[in-house]
Amino acid sequence: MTSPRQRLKSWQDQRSASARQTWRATDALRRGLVLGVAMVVGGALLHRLAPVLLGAPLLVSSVLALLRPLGGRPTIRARPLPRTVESGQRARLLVDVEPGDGAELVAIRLPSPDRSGIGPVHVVPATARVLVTRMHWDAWGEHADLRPDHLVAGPDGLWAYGPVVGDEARRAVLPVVRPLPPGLLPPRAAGLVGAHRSRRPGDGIELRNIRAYQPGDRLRGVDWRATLRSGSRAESGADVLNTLFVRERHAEADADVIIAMDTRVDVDVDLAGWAQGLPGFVRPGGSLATSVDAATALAASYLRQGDRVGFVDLGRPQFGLRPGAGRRQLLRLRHRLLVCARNAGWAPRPVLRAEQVPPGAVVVVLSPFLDDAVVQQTMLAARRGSLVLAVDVLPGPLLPDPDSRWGSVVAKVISGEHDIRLAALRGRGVPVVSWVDGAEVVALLRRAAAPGRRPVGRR
Amino acid sequence: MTAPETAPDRTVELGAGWPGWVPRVVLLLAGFGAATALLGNGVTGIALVFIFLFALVMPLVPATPSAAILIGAVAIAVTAGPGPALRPEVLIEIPLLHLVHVTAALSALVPLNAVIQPAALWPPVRRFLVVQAVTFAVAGVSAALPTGRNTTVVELAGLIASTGLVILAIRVVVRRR
Repeated sequence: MTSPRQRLKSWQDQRSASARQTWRATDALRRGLVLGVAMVVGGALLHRLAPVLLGAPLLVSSVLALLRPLGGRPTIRARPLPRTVESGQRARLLVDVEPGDGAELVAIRLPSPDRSGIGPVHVVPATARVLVTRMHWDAWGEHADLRPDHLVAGPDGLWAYGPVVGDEARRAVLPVVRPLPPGLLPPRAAGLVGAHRSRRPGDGIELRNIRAYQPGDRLRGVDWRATLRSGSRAESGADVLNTLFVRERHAEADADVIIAMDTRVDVDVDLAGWAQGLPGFVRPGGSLATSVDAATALAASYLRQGDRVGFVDLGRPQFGLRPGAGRRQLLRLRHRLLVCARNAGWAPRPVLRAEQVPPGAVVVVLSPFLDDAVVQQTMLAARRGSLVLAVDVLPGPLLPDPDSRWGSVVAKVISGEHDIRLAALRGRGVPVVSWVDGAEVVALLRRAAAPGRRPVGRR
Repeated sequence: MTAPETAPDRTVELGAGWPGWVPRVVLLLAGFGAATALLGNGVTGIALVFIFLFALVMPLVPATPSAAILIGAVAIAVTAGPGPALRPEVLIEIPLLHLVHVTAALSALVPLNAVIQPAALWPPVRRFLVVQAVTFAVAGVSAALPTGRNTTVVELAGLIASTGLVILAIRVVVRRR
């Protein structure tokens, strides 16, 4: 139930909105008419030429504006652009302008080639029918990048149509992909092909062992040189006469990578801003932006070499993505990262269930590790037998709140607790690295791929 | 997909242009010029301070009646000033007050951070020059006319014309509101 005051306000808003949707005289026209007539008539009555000459230009320009026929309804139509674009992509935007009769200039808000966002107001002559501008998208996320608010003005700005608020166009800008140097992953013999050497024997290239022939071995696997050498040893007295030797090779397998991202918090180095709202889609240089960078880089690298990559949102498990391979999986993942970043927000319990992680998969947990729950989930995943890698995305060093007398103490407490959590992870055998450019993560995974070795994180 | 062909002169490439504060700077200069010209008209003291203050404030709030107040104050000061009607102070104020009026009208519509294509301002500039030419032609004609007492018929015609002008202006202002 709306109050009479609200209804009156609504009525006033509707009335002013409808007034903007037609040609109207501006205050300047009234000023020109009133002052012009007053000065000319006053001068005539007083028999003084000076006010007549001072008022004549105002009166003449106002009369010229009144005589100008104005009509039609100005229309602005932006030609469509793709709804999803790549970060760093550029495009040409064409806007059709129909300013109506008698218009002299058009003020329209359009993106500018040298600025991001919906751009400034451009003032162009009303003779223009097509406006051309260049758009570029640098920051990933979902942004409103076009809202052609416009105002059409008559002669000398004495008449105006608008301002009219344009239809907002939103676009999804996919996160940029910065591929890492591909590294080896612990293999999982789920598939028959892959880029990683498995510990199991198979049909790969790399030599695993030379052993005595067993029923079932292929004849082409026989190592004739080793067999002949063994024969010569037989002449010297050994009892392995007439035994064939075969070359046993490693199997080649693909691997699963599960990227688990903590979207519950998005923090940067400035502690004072942690409790404030986000200025944009995500905080520039914040933990979520770093996590998305890391996730796309890792996914792109491993998908490129044929591995399967899955995704888990620790805060919202419904946004998870099953492991998959190929370029489409990378595209799916980037779209999913957008969805997760849009819905990012605090959730008290991070979720990393066993059924989200295939057996033998590598789990990369991207988190600022600001609470114990995410540490427990990471440890739990490691206890289930997966190789878990914790990537700390907390930017640092943290800057204390200058307006609070406890600012430096708070910063020390948060940093101290954070260090304790990372130490606890390392103590449970979970390697911890910070995300700088991904090289450290790749090196760790490469060490992990070596047979019989466990990775050791940065201490 | 290619865009349909459009006449080149009707296609405007956005980008470089004048900043949106240019009309306001012109407004400031015109207002200060109009106020400074009053120094030669014998205006001093609080009245001059008042006019300079409005000249300073006007570019900040061009959509307010500040421009009307400045124009009115300057016109009254000039009318009340001593000397012939076509003295230099009056001839300087004619384009300056018109410039104040036009730039205040444009500044009220153009945001400070706008990008102005110079071609958009060409029609107002052209109209300004034409109106000024007409006004100075009238001033020239009036300077050539003999001065002295008008006949009753001329006075009456002037009175009727003035009344008609006032009624017409009131009708236009009230109807367009």
